[in-house]
Amino acid sequence: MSAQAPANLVVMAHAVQGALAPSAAELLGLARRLAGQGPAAIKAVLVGQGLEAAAREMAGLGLAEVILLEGPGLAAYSGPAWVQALTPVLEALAPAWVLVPHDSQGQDYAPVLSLSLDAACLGPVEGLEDMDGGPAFLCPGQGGKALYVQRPLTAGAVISVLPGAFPASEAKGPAAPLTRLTIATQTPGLRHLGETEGHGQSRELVQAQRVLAVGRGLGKRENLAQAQELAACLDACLAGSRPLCDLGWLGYDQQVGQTGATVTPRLYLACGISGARQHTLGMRGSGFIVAINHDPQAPIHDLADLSVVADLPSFLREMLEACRAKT
Amino acid sequence: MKILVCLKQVPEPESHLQWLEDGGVAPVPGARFQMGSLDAQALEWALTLAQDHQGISVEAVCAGPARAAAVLERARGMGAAQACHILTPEGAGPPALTLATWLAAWAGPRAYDLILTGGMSQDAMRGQVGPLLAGLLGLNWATLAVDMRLTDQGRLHLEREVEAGRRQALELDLPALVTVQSSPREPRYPSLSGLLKAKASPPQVVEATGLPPRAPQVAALGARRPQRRRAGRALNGTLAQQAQELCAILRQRGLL
Ligand SMILES: Cc1cc2nc3c(=O)[nH]c(=O)nc-3n(C[C@H](O)[C@H](O)[C@H](O)COP(=O)(O)OP(=O)(O)OC[C@H]3O[C@@H](n4cnc5c(N)ncnc54)[C@H](O)[C@@H]3O)c2cc1C
Repeated sequence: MSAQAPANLVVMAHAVQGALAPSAAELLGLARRLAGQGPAAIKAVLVGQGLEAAAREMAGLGLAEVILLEGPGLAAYSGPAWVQALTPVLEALAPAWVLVPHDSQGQDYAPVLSLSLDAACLGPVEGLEDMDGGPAFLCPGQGGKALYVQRPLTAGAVISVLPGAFPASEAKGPAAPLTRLTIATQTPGLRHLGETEGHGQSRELVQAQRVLAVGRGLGKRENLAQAQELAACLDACLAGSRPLCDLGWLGYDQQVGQTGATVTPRLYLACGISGARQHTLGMRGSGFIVAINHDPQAPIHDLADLSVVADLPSFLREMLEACRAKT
Repeated sequence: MKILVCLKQVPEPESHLQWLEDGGVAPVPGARFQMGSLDAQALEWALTLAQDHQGISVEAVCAGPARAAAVLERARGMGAAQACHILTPEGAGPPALTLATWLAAWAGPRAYDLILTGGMSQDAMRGQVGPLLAGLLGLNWATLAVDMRLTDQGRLHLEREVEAGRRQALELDLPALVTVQSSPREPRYPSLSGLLKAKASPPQVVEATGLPPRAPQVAALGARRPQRRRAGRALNGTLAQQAQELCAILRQRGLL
């Protein structure tokens, strides 16, 4: 059951509105760690229109080759078109491990791509472990309370990787050759109708120095008033996890996480939030993190500088008093 | 028009885990289980489409051990007309590809117009089964839908949520598979009459062991406890003392 990295490692470099996503350099960092164990050529693949600048940026990061797949059918993202475009190109590099960012695109196409390459689909990965026979991948499960250890059994594998999980590769190198391929894709049953801003994110939240974020552990809507009062007392911006926005207790522009805002305040108070990766992705860079959660096993404690294991509504009451007493 | 909703039974989110001697992890004995929350949202979408249009029937399928029958009973109670239970052996959940292969064996010959499922389960958290099932059945697909409706031309108009809350609008010809992201829509409660109907006609049971096998492509080598990323000192004392200490620490650090 050998899982040495194969001769080819491919990094899928995604772009957000034309610019290279931070995940591209992170996946490259992971690829370098994997390649460290054997002689592997690392190549990057980009898909889309108008990405020449992003591809050239990638080419400067010390790769063997950068391949840019273009075509009128690839202007907007769709899973079926990407799998069509990627399959022949990746087949030619086989056997390979293909690293895909586990973002809204990667989680969409990686499984189907793995089928069309007859490769394993593994992920989302947030860590590596060295074991007998090479690296094994750690994938969060059970709400983040456990990490599953996995390894592909096939020569080829499509491996999705959580954004933010690995440090970005900082190495630069001579510009890698850039190969541009124009690919005709046909997805007759699918029409793009454009992209919109959606709910966006609150400016005030993104710029806040102090954020008080509430999650489902708040229990009842009535308890929201207390959280608001405490936020005011701490001069903090009120934010929350996705479920509270779904419930309508907060606006979606107050959501922190993968599908909300990414914040890096000096202080982040996570109140009744479990610490799912989709949430922590948006706040893990905060200066000082305080977790308040009655479950000592909640994964948010792993990220915290300070933990309070307590019933949230009761603790909010005490905090309000303590905060008022000395101001 | 026929809609199939794929449902998974998962441990209640706050259930505790036990670390097994073989290096694996499982919910503690006596843990309670429920319908996956995004799967419940997928079922709610299917039932809404069926309410808004004539001639749509909603069926549910769940692959899981004997206890998972409860999920199908709830689905019938909520309004699914029929249910199939793909009965799997007890123990660790199967790999995503195995699950998708079983679901494809059920769905393939039945030619559903639309297959819906949750974007990710709360226990395995892979988000792979939906797209894999689409791939196995050769269907068009889209993931993480937060809004959908049928157009007058019989297509599915949907919006999927992408990074930073942006939304991508798509139109899919049917048949297609769509996975669902959470949205403000609360899944309905089962009705008493629905639950009585479910009790009177239990789901069709298909033994997973009788379905065509699929060699695993991913080795499961156990589980680890996540490591602490930061100091994570825990405060002690009464709640009032902890609150005072927290305020003091925040002041000390110039955060208050
Ligand atoms: C593609 C995708 C994108 C997503 N994007 C985001 C995102 O951007 N942001 C986001 O937040 N989520 C996002 N999610 C959802 C995410 O996976 C989690 O479901 C969500 O973050 C959980 O929110 P929560 O922590 O409030 O709730 P839960 O996970 O239910 O946690 C509640 C916590 O409160 C604690 N608690 C309960 N009662 C009390 C009490 N009385 N006192 C103290 N503590 C208590 C519990 O122990 C638990 O840890 C996304 C999901 C998907 C699939």
